Amino acid sequence: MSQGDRSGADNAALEALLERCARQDRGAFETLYVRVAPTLLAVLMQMLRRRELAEDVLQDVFVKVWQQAGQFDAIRGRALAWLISIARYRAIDVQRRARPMLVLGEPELEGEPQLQVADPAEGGGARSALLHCLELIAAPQRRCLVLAYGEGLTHEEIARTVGEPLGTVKSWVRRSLQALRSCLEP
Amino acid sequence: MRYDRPELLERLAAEYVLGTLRAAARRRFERLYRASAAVQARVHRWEDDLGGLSTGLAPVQPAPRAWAGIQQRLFGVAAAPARRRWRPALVAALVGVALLVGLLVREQQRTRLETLAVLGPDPAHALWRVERPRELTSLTLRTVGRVALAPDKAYELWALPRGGKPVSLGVLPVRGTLQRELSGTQSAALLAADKLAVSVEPPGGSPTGAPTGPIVIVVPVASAAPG
Repeated sequence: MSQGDRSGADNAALEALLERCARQDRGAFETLYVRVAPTLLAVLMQMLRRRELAEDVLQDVFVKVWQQAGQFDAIRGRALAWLISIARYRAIDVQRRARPMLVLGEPELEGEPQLQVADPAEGGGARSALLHCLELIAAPQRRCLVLAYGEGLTHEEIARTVGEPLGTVKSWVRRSLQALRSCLEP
Repeated sequence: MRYDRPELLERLAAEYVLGTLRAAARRRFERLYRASAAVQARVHRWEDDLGGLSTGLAPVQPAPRAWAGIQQRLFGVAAAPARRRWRPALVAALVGVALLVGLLVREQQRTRLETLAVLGPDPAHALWRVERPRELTSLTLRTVGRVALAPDKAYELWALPRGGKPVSLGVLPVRGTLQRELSGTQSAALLAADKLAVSVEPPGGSPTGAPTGPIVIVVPVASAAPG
């Protein structure tokens, strides 16, 4: 994996903690929680908006992490990505169940998704490569990707938010993903 | 659906990770993921690549109850991390004191209302005063003039965010004072708004979420950011 030193070291440390969790080490579980719960809660807050709901889902996530810490094949070399994915997928499931709230309640979303500026000291090469490749995608298309990933919006919700036809949004998302893939792996 | 075409598999993996697959397609793809190492590899690659969008967020400290809840659910223990049991109690007590002080200070600030805008066809004929507490969590809508309106109509207040669509702030009172709690969307729209507008709508307000009747008042908002 081509990640930078720091995130590589982080991943190794997290992986070691997860291995200990798989052996029922509760102390390691607490250390893991202290290390990554704030990062995962940030992800969940962005998707679910409500703090209380995000903290409830955070509990689901860590229950799952404890139960699945033995999935070494999925975790090896990518512990943080594994943890973030568990959180995102759980948030997506919760969001889709709570869908009527979105449809009835909020015509617009709070704020705009922000593309974070790359900090070269942080996150390593993989992250700056991603940001570089995202910048090559035209702004309206990129916005769709960020809305989908960051906020967990469906095609329909993105179409409403950006005010474009559903078909346009679907093909923008598809083509942006293709462009991203070929930029990341030329 | 046939999953053996690499391009299709790649697209499904990408959209699964992105989150844009519909619920049923999502479940189908999860079954496929569990059954196929090749699918897992594609999914993991997308998770690794897009994960950079998550790690740039500012961390948010969870409340102590989240950890207590996890402990309870997994191990059936009341709370208390494995180490030093006194520490959470002390921290909780300190947080409690800090919260109490904060609440008292905030309560004082909250009761003070600032005028956000005065609504009327012109400055000499004010009809409503819109007031806000320091924290933009509610609005106080005061009728200050004589509001004439047909019984089958309502006046609805809108925030006009710079470059965005109008966001409803609800129907205005015809007489008296009304305090209205704001949703996060409404607060955010107000923070971004440089104008407030009033439109004429059916009773209960616009059925579409956007102004449907004529806009009869537009007034500037000086600054909705807390000062």
